[in-house]
Amino acid sequence: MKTFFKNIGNNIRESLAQLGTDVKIAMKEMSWRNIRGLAKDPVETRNYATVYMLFSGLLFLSTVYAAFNEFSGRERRPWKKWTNEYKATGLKIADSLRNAVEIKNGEAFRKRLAELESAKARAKDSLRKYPAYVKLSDDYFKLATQLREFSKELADIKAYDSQDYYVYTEALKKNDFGTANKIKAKLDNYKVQIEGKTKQVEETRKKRDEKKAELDKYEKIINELDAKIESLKGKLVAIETAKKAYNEKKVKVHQVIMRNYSTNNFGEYNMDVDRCQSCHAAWNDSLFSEKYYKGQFKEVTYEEFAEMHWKFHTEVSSDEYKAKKPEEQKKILEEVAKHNKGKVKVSGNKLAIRKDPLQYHSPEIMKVHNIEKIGCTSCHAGQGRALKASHAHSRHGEPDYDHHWERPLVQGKFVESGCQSCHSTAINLPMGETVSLGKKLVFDLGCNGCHALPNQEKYPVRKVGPSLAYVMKKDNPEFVYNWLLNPKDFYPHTKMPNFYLEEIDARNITAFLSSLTDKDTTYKPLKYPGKGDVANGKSLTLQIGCTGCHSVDKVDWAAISKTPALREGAGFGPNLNKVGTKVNEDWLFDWLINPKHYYSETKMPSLRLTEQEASDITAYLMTLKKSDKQKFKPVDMAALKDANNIANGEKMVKMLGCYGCHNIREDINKLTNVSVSLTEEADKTSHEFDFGNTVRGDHYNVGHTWEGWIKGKIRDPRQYSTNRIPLMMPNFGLNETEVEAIAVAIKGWTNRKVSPQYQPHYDDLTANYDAGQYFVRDNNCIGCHQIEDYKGAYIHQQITEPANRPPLLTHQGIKTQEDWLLKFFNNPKLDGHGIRPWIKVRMPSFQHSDEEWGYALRYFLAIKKKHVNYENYKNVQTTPEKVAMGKALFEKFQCVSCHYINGPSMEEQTKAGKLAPNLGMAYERLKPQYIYEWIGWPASLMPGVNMPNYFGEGYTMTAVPDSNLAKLGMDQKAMARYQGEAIRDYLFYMNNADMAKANDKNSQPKKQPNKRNR
Amino acid sequence: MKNIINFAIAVSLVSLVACKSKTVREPLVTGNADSLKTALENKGEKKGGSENTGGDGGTTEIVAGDYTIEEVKNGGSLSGKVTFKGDPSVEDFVVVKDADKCGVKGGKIKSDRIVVGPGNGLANTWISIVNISKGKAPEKKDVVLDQKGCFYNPHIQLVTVGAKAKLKNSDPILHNVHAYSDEGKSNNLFNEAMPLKDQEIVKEITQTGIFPMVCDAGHTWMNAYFIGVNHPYNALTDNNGNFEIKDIPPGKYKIRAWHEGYKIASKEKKDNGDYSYTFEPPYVVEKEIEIKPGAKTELNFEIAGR
Repeated sequence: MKTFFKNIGNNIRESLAQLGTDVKIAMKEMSWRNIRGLAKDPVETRNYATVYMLFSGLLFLSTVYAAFNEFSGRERRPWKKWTNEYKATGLKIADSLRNAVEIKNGEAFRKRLAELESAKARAKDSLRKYPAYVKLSDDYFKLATQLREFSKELADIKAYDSQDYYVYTEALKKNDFGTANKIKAKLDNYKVQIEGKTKQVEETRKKRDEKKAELDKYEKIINELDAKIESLKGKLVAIETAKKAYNEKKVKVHQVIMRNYSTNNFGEYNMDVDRCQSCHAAWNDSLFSEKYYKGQFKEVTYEEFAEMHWKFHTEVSSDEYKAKKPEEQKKILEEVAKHNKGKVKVSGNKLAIRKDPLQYHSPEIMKVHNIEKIGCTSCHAGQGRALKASHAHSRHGEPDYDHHWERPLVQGKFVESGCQSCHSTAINLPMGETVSLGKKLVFDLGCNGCHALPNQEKYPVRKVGPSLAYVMKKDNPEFVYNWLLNPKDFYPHTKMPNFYLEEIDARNITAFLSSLTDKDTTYKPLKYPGKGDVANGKSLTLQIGCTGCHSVDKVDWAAISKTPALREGAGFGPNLNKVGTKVNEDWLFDWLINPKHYYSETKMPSLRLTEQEASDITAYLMTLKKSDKQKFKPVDMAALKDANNIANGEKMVKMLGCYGCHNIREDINKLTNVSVSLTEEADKTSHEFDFGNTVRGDHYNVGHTWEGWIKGKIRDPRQYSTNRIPLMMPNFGLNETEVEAIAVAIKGWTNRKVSPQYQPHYDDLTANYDAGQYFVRDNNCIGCHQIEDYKGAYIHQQITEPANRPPLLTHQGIKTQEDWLLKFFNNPKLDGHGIRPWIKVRMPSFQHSDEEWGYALRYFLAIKKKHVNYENYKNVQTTPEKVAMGKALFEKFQCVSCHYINGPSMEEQTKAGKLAPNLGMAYERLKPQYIYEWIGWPASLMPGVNMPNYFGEGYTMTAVPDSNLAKLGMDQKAMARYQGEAIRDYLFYMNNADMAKANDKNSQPKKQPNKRNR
Repeated sequence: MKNIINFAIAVSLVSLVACKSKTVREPLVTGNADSLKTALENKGEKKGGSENTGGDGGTTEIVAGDYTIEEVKNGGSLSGKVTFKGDPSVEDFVVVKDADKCGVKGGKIKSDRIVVGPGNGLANTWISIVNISKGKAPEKKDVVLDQKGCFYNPHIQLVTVGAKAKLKNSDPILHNVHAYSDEGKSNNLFNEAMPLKDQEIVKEITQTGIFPMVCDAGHTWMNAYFIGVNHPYNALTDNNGNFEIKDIPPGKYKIRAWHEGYKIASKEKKDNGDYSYTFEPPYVVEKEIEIKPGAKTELNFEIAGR
């Protein structure tokens, strides 16, 4: 052994000596002089074996290292660890679940299984001993055998028959009448036989089926027991299947390839690849939901935590934290844990943050989005290709993040910003609450007045403010001046933002607006007659529907809504609580009589007030004045007439862009937006923002990120202002929810377009639906009506009697005939009678054109996934008998107890207390199918309605079984449906003589009675 | 594949939970196979009967919510009287519709929301043991609600969850039974029209709660209550105001007396001379008491009119 090493040592020494010489010679030869002389002294004579040996050794070692590095996966494949972790944890959870079934409940489980099985055996046993059952099963088998035999005989006869029929036809072809006649007799015989046999087969089959049904009744018990046993065993099988799946899961890069998914910076579609699932392996595994898997956490101190600003938002800096007392520190930790629920826990006096990527994604949204197609980055952003967490997330400031990646992972609510890539025109996404709120706010606050917004052309956008062309005929200079100084002082939640005007600028603008009014000759308000009754005015204001849009008296929008800047429900119109200070009575009276007189584009509809009603309301509203505590600054009336001031005022109006929200003067209205376009705002990086004098470490502007800047801008637009670059944007006074919602919406405004093949099918229906949703908000239909899941209809809370509330409109598309609805929109009072004249709240007259109403009509149909069609609904096919049956039922059911049919005037109907719509107009108002469904189950279409069920819940029973219908083979349900149709036909028939005539002529006596008429 | 597994697991978990809280199982032999039931029982096996198929005879069974059924040995009983203090007189309802058919004379009808018997005993008061979590099995007794002379009869009834309520109209006019699933009358439980005389509709009560019922067909005075319960420790007072609850497992309990309230809080006149009424909130009195094994405990309530 010793010698062996010695030999090796010697060998190595010799080799090294040889190598030294060789290298020396090689160096010598490699020198320029010797290379020139190479031809004389060929290199082949030299031995380079040792050099080759050395390098091949190095190559071998590096290959081994590369292979090791590849398969160990520490450096190059960090995701492997998590796939393995996922498999191991999954198995562990499955095992614990199985234990829960088998071991924890072991005794009970086995006992139950054994008992079920013995019960099954007993049941089988006793059935076999039970004579009635034995006889029954014998009969059944006999009949079954018989049936088989009969069927075989029948088939045989048929075969003979067709064989002879062939011979018969052949004979006829050959004019061989002798044979033909002979066979004809045979054929006739077969015919009789076939008929007889068929009948026999049918009868036997019927009998057999009867027996089978009876047998089933007995065997039901055994089958049920079987099912129970199976379900008990099934749990274990399911767990075993899951375990198998974990074992078989491959350790590989799981990726989604999206060809031509979205555009790059040059506007071309390129391929995106998402490999997020390689680490986030548990995203669709419900075993990893919070219930079974709590996650892995690591402890960090608060100082470390506060440093992780790319991931967590902290209100308190680590220095501030250190200065606090231990109890307060504890509170801060708890607050942080509450804010980052699921990601951060309190652990002693430290924090524990989740370190594993095996989170389970909430399943709701996955039901409607195919992740195998659109990947993860389409919502969450980040670098999908990267296989290292820091590169994949690329959040600004994260250790080892990719500086060059422009779309870092989005946090929290900002995930919703991605919704807009595909749902570009939707403003009420059920699973995108924040982004929807943001989009609504953007339109409500009139951001489009100064900025260009994406997809603006797809909505009927209007200027959000009132006309100022002759504003002093409405307000007074003192009010306007004080309003301009800070509108939020007067109404804290007004839409008008605070421009932080200097007193002199406010005065100049007031002067300019006064001069406009002075020059105007077009608008002359009516004169307020001055006989208003304040008390009656108040009750009218609170009852006829003003409160559907306006806050007045006890109706306070800001108290109802967490986001008072949102213009829905009672916050849609201005607060009226100080309106007496704001306007003068002539203008108010004129405005109430016809709002369009003052400003033709106003959203305020007419409530068809009589002169007396308008006077009463005017009288009431004029009593609502500001409190004396609230002081107005005096305005120098003489200065308002100064031409210089007026000119300066005009300059200010143009500079601030007042015309973005208000109609001012023809030439000013035409000016372009005063501020930047926001259509591609999300593509800006934080380097492109000017943070002004705000310092790093300011908790609002977290780490100087995109989100931080935008939120800061919305929250306090002038905070980035410097002496060199003063900013103009006014302050909207929004709360944090609103600020975040708007920022989330803007985060989705990018020039990166998603290819249509990845988008949901955008067709007419979607367009109708989205535009309609905008329309019903823009006119605040949802202030009074419940439509779909809009959180609206706040007026409902003010009306105690459900029957007196504005109706639900979700089903309007299937409820009313389109031409009737249009007639109703244009004339809600229906020439004096209305539908429910006894209710106090009024459907206003909006004075829209038919085109505008089209948005609403198409929307109602789109809710029900229907296109506009031109069906004649009055063409209901029926028979006089059916109508007569409907009439009889109508009387029997005492429908007239609540409904009138035609009958007396509406006033009398109201007096009689029959508080249900007059059915005389049903045939021109309602769609036939709706009447049918309504009669079947009214509360399913309008929850809380007083109309009771006559046929159970959806035609499940009838109270008046009809023997004639029973003879036609109808069961209870079919009978109920037929009776429902009969009542509908009666309602359609009674006022519509033409229809009755037409249908009588075309009536089809053979029609199947239980088929639905269309 | 993944999804299928997840689904399978979800299903299994649901059934797992179902397995743990063994609900009262349906009898093994049901409906049309009665003769088989007899056949099985005739075998004389202890556990072959209709109720013990699952084999859990004697073990704990959960009915609904947090009430557990077990055998009560040496239980105590609770009895007492509810008295009313105050002025039970209440203004009559105006009748503008169907006066003749309802048998009303003079256009007015007396309220049936309060019935005070001899010794100021208050009838139609619901007594319940609030915090009882185990005890004997509730009796699933079906009830009948008759509409006769434009009144609901009986006025208030206890219905065990799973039992059936038969609605009946004995009047020749249209009534409807509009039942709400909450005291505030904001959600419907059901709303059945009963236009025909002697018409009957059967509804199953599937939840616990107080279910007020009204008639929307112009009979504003008509009202009744179903009270959905999941345990047998409930009682209604009789016309003398007396009640009794038996077989209570010994322990300390909170006993509640509930009366619907009878005064008209506000009324609004309608154009037809009728009114829409709102009533005062219900009276609720709660008392703590200890039930001793095998002993009779007495507990009296006094409800004072507002």
